[in-house]
Amino acid sequence: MLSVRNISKSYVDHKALDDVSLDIRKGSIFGLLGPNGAGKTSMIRIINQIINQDEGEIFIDQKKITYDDVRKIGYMPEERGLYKKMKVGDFLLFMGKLKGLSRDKCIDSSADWFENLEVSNWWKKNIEDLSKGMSQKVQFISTVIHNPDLIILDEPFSGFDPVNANLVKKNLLRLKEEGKTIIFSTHRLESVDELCDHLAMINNSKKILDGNTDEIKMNAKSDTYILKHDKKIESNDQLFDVISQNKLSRNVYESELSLKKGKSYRNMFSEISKDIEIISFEQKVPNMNDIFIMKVEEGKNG
Amino acid sequence: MDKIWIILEREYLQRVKKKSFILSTILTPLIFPIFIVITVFVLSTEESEERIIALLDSNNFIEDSTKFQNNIFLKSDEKISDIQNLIDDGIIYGALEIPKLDIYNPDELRFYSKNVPGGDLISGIESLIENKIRELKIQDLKLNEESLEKLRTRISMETYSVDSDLSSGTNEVGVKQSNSDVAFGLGYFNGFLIYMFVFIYGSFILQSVLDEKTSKVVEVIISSIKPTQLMMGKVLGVGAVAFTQIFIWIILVTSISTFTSMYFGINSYETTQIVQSEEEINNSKEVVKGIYEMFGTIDIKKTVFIFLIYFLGGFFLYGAFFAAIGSAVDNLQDASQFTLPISLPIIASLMFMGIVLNNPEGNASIFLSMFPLTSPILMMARLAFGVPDWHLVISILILIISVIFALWFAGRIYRVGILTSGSKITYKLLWKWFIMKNY
Repeated sequence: MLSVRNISKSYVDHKALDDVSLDIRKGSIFGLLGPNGAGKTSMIRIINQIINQDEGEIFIDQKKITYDDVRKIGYMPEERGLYKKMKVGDFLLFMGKLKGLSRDKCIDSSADWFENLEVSNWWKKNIEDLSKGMSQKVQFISTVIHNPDLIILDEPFSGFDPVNANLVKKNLLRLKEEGKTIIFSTHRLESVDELCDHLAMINNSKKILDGNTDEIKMNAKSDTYILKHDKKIESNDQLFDVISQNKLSRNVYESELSLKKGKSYRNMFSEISKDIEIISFEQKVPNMNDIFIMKVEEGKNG
Repeated sequence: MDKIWIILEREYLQRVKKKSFILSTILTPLIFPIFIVITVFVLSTEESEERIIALLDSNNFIEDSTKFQNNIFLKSDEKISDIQNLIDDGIIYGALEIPKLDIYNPDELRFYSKNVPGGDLISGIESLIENKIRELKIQDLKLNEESLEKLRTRISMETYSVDSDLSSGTNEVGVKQSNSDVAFGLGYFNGFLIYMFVFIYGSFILQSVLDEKTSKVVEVIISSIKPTQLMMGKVLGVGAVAFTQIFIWIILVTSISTFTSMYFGINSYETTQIVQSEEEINNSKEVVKGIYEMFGTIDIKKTVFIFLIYFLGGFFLYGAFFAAIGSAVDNLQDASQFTLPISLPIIASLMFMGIVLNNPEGNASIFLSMFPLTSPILMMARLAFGVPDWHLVISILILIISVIFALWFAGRIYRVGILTSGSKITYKLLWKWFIMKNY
């Protein structure tokens, strides 16, 4: 669907993107992750031709992206707002017309979205009377009012309370089911696991990780296990090290064990269970935050 | 183009629907007639309580108990110091002291009052005494009033402008009557109107651009429209509002003046019959007829057409700069340091207006009516005096080229400015934005 090739971008005083490439498949949700100031917004603005790249190219369906393609994108910027002095309906009409929609289509589409986002009809309401969550919903509707095939959302969940954030997530998944492609950026790395199929991490203007979300998680799985058991465990020179051990109650301990390279967890399990009762046993799966920190550390060492 | 139209439409409707716009559009043309009506009303109901002025006249120039304006002169034999006390206590208004005079060298005339007297009173008394002295001199020199009147000559020169356009097919050059007072007034009025609109609506553009930037709605919009298109749409939209306002004003002023002249025209005719002699009525009719004829000497269609060109040119030129400023700064306070240098040529134009109106064909006037930052106001000031066509053509060409340049310049600042906030804006930074190749 969308292919970003070797994009670089510098501002007056710093480099925002350094040779970043991305591939986004049709009908998927793609997460662009990274801390604040990493270059996510620059990348999204370049895709939307709001700013121009210094180097690199962007292709959409194997063709160089044109201004008409950009107009079809449903784009919600990080810096977003509404005209305070307008009525909700007038604003949605205005945005729809800019996207090339007729008046009737605007009204129909808005009515559908009012329903999807579980709001009553706000058509006649003044924008300055809306609460923050309400205006975020209007903002979202104005982004997708023209039923775009490609939706790009920059930090879509900032400003939403958890209930509304879930509502939006639900709608994004529904749009994916309909075959839409969605790209979103966020600096809250932990919140995206369940949403995106693919993701890329950007740090200090460089891409540090890219791939399928599940694969990334599998690859990042460490050989660390968390056990609950009834007696103290000592480190075993051949099999494992005890990283930490806490006494939870009189007969329950919780330990974090790290398996030595090339050893099987089955051996460790049988070795321990010789004289210790194991209550629970789980492999520690890192969250995106851990993976990010790991990757940043790797980058420093490499 | 259709997108510029959408922006223009929104900008226009938002502004035209505002209460402040409707009120100012309707009330402004009414302010002047209302002001006149109030002044007339106040003047006519003014308490004309008679004030006493003590008269110490050693020559009997003024008779006892003479009424003058709303004062009465009463002869007095008191000493001046006593009268001064009466004035100070507020018992009488003032005192006029005329010592024994040599009519060929009158001096030492004095007027005493507690407060500084109005100019009308003093000049009135002065001419009263001057007339009296004149009579005495006529007697003294054994002159004859009749022959003196014959000595007086009054001429009023009619000015004609020569223009080959007026010769209807013949080889002769046509002439038409011109009037420099009317030209002066019209030039001032037109120039001032452009000045006002450029200023007020220029700052509307600034405000509007700034609002979009601070409410952060701008990036949402430029995802579907190019920044330069957005800027053009805004400038055109605000311009359309200005046009609407001036159009309504023209209609309102024309209909109000037609209505009032119809109403008061008949009314004043009836009342004046009582007071004025037949001759005076004819005189005033002549004056009114004269004014109409004077305005008839001005080519209204051409003036309106040229006015619209300079109105648009000046508006776009300064509007572009105001838009660029609005995009660069984060709030109105920061904007003022940049609006000042932009406003200077506008204010200067108004100050140069005197020079141009008094000498419309001087070198300074010609230069100022060509220079794009001053030409919208100062060419309009010159226009009523008659301007060679080639001056107009050059001036308008320079203005159009400058407008294109200004819009291009503003567009380059604007595209960077609207997405940049939080940085301290300096002229150096603006220049960097301007020359930046990729943004």
